[in-house]
Parts: sequence; C-alpha cells; structure tokens
Amino acid sequence: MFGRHRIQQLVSQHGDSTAQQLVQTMTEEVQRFAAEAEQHDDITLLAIRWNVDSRGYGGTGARGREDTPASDPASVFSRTPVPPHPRTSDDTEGKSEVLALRASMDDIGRLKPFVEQAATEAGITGKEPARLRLAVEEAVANVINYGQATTITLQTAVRDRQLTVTITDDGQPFDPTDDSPTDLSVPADQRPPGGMGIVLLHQMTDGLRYQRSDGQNILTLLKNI
Amino acid sequence: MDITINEQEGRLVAALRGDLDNAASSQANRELAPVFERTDCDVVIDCTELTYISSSGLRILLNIYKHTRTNGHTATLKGLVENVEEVFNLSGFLQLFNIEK
Repeated sequence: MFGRHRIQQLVSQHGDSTAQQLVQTMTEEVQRFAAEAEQHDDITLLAIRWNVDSRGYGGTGARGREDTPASDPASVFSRTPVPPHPRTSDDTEGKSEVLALRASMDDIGRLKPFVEQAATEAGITGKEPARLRLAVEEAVANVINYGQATTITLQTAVRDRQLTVTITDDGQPFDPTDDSPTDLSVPADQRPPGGMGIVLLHQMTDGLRYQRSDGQNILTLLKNI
Repeated sequence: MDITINEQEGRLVAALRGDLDNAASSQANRELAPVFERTDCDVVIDCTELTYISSSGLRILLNIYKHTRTNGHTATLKGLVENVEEVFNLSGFLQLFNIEK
C-alpha cells in the first residue's frame, strides 16, 4: 500500500509547490509505486493550499468557501477513473475506518468496538467478528509487548469480498507471518512460553500479509466475507 | 472482567465473568493470586460466563494448571462457550485440563 506515511512525506517535501503541482507529483509517485500492479480502485486527490495573509486568516478572508472565486487555483481536484476490473459492488465496498492507539494495554479495550463494528458492517456475522477481534488483539498485544512502538494505527477496508485490517506500527521489525509455528503436538504445558498469540493470529484469519516499509511494520489481516 | 473464588465440595472454584483480554489480564492475575496460595485441593475454573479469552489469559490459566498439577491435584475447566472452547482447543488446553459441562 502507498500509505499515509508516503503521502505525508511527499507533502512535506513539496511544501512550496502549488496545489496543481502537488497533485501532479503525487499522481506520478503513486504510478511509479504501483508499477505494473493492477489498479483495484479509483484514485482521488484533493489538494488545498491555504494562503495565510498578514491578519493570520486564510487568503479568502471572511468569505465562506463557497465564495472562493472559481479562478482561484487554491484547490485542485484530480480523479483517475477506475480501470475495467471485475469486482463485486455493494454498499460496503471501499469503506474504510481508522483507529489510532497508544502502544499501551490500556488502549486494548478500544479494539473490540472498532473491529466488531467493521466486521458487522462488512457483513461478517456469527462468531467471526469475535474471532477477528482476537486476531487483531494478538497482533497488537505483540507489538505492545515486544515491539517498543509508540503508536499503532489500524485501518479497515473492504475489497473483493474480503475485510482487511491493516495494523501499522513504528516499532522494531517483526514479521509474524515468518515466525516458525508453535509445535502444537507438544503438550501446552511443555511448550516454550509465548507463541500462542501468533498461533491464534494465524488461526483466526483467512490470510496475513507483512511488509516493512519506511521504518514501519505493516501487517494486514484478511477475513473472507 | 469479574472474578469470584469460593470453595464448593472441597474444590476451589474460580468463576470468570466477562472478557479476559490483554487489558484485563493483570487484574485477573492479581485476583487469582489466592489460587496459587492453595496447595491442598483440586481447582475448577468456571468459564460459564467467560465470553472471551486471549493468549494473555491463557498464560494465567496455564500457570494455574501447572501449580495445581505440581501439588498432585486436578485442574478443571467448566462450562465453555463456543468461542472460548475453540481457543482452548487450538491452544491444546482441552488435552490438559479436565473438562466439565
């Protein structure tokens, strides 16, 4: 995923650009990043440049946004149409929610409503929302216990009949998809401590993807709808 | 998370109510400390109203199992709801503990 971090970096690197130039640069960077990969969804960019005048107000003064002259190039809107691509279409497609956590067990309680609501809205029913919550909790607890992260961000999305929960943290590199699986044939009281959370993370999801990018762990949990 | 401990018919019964997640596990660890002070009886973990458990909770229960077995007594899990039973099953706990309906 291109991700918020890259967007923030680009915006700070190109702070002197006009809104038009920024949209141009961002579009080029996204295309360069995507390379040959098939585009799954449309790309929409809105850049707004806020010109602060001597009174400390925005350049449009006391007028509302509606009054901004159309000739004022302060904001530029760019939209890339969706390429032909077979996909299911329903109300939840593309819906995305974000939750930012402190890397503290005190924040673990916030996972339940966030994950279970995302699952329910995506049409995941029965015992599956609670199973997904467990997978997310194990992944987040792992980051808090071992990763020395400061912030953890969760983002949900629905695409191609799957709900994805992407967990991004700024802690030590750790790839839970690469962990040697706990030997479940060994009785539980004779296994080395730990490792159980990773087993549950794998068992409660339909797939895991890991990527280390820009000093961040990016773990995506997949759940079939 | 709500925990009560009492004795029933010579067995120490710890009843867990609610969600035993990572946020609740340090509190649960404290409140279950009396179980580790007893070396003279069988222990039952009553899970009838336990709605959720994650690996931090499993670690606590595993420690209770080891403590109880070390003292020559049995450790029993009682009244597992579906989600909780699946986690115990994946963890190999159903092979360790005695199971009661």
